[in-house]
Amino acid sequence: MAKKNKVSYLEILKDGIITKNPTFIQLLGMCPTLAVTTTVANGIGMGLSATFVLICSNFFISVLRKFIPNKIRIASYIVIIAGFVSTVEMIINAWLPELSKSLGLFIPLIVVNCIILARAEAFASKNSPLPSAVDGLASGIGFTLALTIISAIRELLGNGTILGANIMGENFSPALIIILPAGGFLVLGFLIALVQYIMSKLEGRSK
Amino acid sequence: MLNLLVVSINAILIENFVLVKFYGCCPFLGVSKKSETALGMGMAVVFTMTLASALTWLFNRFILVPFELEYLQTIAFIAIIATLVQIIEMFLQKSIPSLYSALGIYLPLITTNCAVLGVTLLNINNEYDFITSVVYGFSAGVGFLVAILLLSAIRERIAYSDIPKPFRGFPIVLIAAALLSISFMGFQGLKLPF
Amino acid sequence: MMLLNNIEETSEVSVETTEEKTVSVPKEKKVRKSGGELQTLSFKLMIIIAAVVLMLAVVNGLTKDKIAENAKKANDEARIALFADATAFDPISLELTEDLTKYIGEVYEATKDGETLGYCVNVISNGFGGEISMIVGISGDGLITGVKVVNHTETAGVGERIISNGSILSQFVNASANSITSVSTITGATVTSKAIIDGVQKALSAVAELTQGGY
Repeated sequence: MAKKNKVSYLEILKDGIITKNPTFIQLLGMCPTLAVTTTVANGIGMGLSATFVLICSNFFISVLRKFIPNKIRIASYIVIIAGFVSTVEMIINAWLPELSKSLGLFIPLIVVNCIILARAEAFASKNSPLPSAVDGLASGIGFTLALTIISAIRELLGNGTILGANIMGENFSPALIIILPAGGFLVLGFLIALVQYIMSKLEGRSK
Repeated sequence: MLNLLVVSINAILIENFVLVKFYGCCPFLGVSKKSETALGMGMAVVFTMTLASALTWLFNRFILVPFELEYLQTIAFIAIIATLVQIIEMFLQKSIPSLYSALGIYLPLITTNCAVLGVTLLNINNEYDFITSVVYGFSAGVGFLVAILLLSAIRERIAYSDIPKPFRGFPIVLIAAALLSISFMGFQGLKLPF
Repeated sequence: MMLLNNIEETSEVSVETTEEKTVSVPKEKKVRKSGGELQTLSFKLMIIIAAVVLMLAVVNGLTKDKIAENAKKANDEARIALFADATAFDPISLELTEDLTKYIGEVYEATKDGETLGYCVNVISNGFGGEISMIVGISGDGLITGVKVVNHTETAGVGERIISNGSILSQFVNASANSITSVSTITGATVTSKAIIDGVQKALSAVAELTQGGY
């Protein structure tokens, strides 16, 4: 993924957030994407937690990239990632108990979120610490953005609210299905279809 | 016994691990293009989940809890799962090569399957005893197997259908999964004696 | 250790290609490592693990008290919400029939200037995603003053929603053992609803035993 030797921070940010958006383009980290996006608050909470882990793990893996032997690379990455995930978990438990209640088990499960391991393997293991941290930030923002979009749609249609504020008015009867598990698959399916549609239009224009 | 049956039916049907609880979505959506591969992946998951449930339960009960190290749960469990997967792989390669060739390529993927880590953490969260944990791990795995087999069967049909262009590939699979999930919601009507 | 490589699922689309990206590394044959190399490998892994564990120990030390305090605060606040007039909450010990002891936790007696107002009963009930722990306030004459959920692992947006928006909990206010049957479950979250109703019923029977026994 990092083909150039000279790193442009702007490029990294653009890649992580838009052109290589972890959720809509790369289709990584589906479990939290589907499970926690029932309310915008949850989506943002999950996104920011993952972003924090991404920045830290990318930075430290990059610092240690010469120390970590190739053969036990993945194991070392997972240990480092798990360390930061547990840190986030404890911090959220201590200072944001409400969030920890609603995200539940999906906080520890950030460990196995493929986005983080993917960035470690594809970027942090080959680049110096600062660009790696920026790459983590970029992917994190991309992930958070995707979660926010999905959760906004689901909360609005399924509950008539956004961030708890009633948007649709009294007469709106929410489509409960959207915040049920099935709705998660459905909304993501339509969103990715939309992304594919836009991409094919853009490609058609550039030709 | 009845209790175990309830836990089992719960994990397979009523709160299917994948379709209702969203654990293990990556391999569910990823490795479900063909029934054969789905079966292989599913079997490997059942196997690993059962063993991982047993091992992590024992480790938590006899090492983490007595020494008040519960905050190391996540990291310890993922390490156990990773090691377990590695050992299973080596064992199968040596002893049962036929099974290894069937499951082999899916085993490494299981480490990053959040269903496995999820089930081990749920066992502890729900304060299950040893036997219940193992049964729950096994049943959750079977739930995964059922879901991935169903989806793969659907995808084999989808491959021959005429689908609007933007929906080709991943989106239609997600929509199929949504329909599958809706049908599993029907199982919530099952009344189980608690 | 874990050779997350050579996963060649070439026929698959999208996701598994991403999985491959995660792990695409030149194939490494599992060669028997020489003793020295194995030692270096495990030594380095040990250092990493030790560093991470050390970090976690520090974070745990910093957050442990706060987490415990949060749990205590949630309980206290719930009790005050159930009996706004009460001046004191005293834990009481009680003996219950066996099928209740499993579910009933601490029971607090709410008093106002020495006069008993009612009881706060901590109950555990089996919900959809695991245990739901709640506090049920029951007045001296057997009416429910309210139900507060302290902790739960119900599905976000479904079971969790009916707990947070009060659509089920509010139905219990001023209900009695007889009228609790009219509490209706919420569509889409039947399991959670039933678990809460079940928990409230257990709390009611616990208080009934308590007051009958005249403790």
